[in-house]
Amino acid sequence: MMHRQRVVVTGLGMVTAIGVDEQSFWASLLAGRSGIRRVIHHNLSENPVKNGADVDAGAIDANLPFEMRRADRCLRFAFDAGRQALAGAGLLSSLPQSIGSIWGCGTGQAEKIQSAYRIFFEKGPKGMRPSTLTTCMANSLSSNLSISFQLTGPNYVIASACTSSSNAIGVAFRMISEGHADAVLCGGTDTPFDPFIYGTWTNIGLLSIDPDPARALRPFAADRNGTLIGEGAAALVLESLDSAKKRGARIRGEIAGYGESSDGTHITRPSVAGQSHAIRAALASAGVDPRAIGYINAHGTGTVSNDATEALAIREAMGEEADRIPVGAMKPYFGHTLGASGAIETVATLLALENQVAPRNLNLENPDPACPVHLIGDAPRALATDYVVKNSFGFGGGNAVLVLRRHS
Amino acid sequence: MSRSEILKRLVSVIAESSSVPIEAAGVTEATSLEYFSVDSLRLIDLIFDVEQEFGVKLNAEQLTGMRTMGDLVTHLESRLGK
Repeated sequence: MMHRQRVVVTGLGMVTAIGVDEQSFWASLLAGRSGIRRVIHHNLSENPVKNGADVDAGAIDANLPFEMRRADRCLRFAFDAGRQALAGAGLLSSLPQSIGSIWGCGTGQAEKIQSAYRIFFEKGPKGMRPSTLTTCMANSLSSNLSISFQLTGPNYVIASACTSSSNAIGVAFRMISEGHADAVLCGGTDTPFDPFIYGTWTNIGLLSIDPDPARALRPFAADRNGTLIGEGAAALVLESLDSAKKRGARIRGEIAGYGESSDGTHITRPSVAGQSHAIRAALASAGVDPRAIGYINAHGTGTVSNDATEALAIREAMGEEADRIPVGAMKPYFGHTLGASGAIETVATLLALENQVAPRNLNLENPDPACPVHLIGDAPRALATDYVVKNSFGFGGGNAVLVLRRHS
Repeated sequence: MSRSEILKRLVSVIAESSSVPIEAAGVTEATSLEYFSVDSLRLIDLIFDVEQEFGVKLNAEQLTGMRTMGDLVTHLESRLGK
């Protein structure tokens, strides 16, 4: 497929358990430093699983403008990540501009919604504060960011579970490549330690119950037994190459292709065929074949089901190149951040591509032979590649894959 | 309820809708209502919050004639009875 515009990344921002700025985030990844621990910033006393990757939001909250201080936690995180990205792109001081605001979020503004329901159960409909509507509506996230940053391009939220923010990046990519926008602020955010949401995650039986937080999340390991939740946000400024060059912006990388599909089979159980289809669609979108790919950043949740399925999907899509292409999984660093995972891990993958080094795989002393892919070991892996792949797969059967190209 | 008590409770209510941070100690009856930069949506919230706090019905028309916190205190004082 030929695109009218090439789409580059000119700004990055992130809020994660391993860093709330690019320098500390990348330093943690290179050092193999995990942010998973016994959660201290949320009350998990009633939950059996107390390990996860929570964020110390003190510094973020202290630097918020007044109108953001009362916002839901996930919006505050998105705002900070978005501000970093716009600043990195050199756009923060030149707003308002016709820039889109497209965001992925799996859980929604759970903090605000839960507060609203508490009041509803206490006082009934008469107790509902009028602004509950605009605070809790699903697009409140993208709209508030559009207003805060004065972005007059399209704004909406994509809610597709763990593929939400990869879908958001993909939509932004298509918007720019097809000439509908010059630039889009896109990304994802999720803060799933809200008691309601976290309770359901605990009960669905997919979280690792290993007591040692440093070892509990083990993607592709033979003895893996579940994932662990993280919270966070990441933002990217995507821009047409023409626009970026015209204003002399620093280019961090390129979104070369995007593929998506649905399994159409089960609400939680993944499908090799569905995932493989999305990977192949992304390669076709980028106009490359598996021989060009030098690294895959896997979805790699650490559940028995996902990792086995994903490994087979990679093998099916990449063929014999799967023996060569190194595969990394980053959720042991900052947890499974659900709707934010696509964006956070795309940012990490862009940094890996830019620096030509992929972070080590944590907790992979015992790779599962039933996951027939070439896994990175316990040391960072030097890369010599122009193209990498980022996989995202989600509940509901959604699959979203990005191909990233190095900018030189 | 005394005027000072009404004012104190109003300040905590308005803080929820105000577009600017407010230092409770700095708000007096002379403070202009425009200081809080309450737009149309926040005005609806503010009316709702005042109604919930004081148990009286208010409408936007009643507020249009008021300029200061003192005007609002006076109106609530008359509605609540001394």
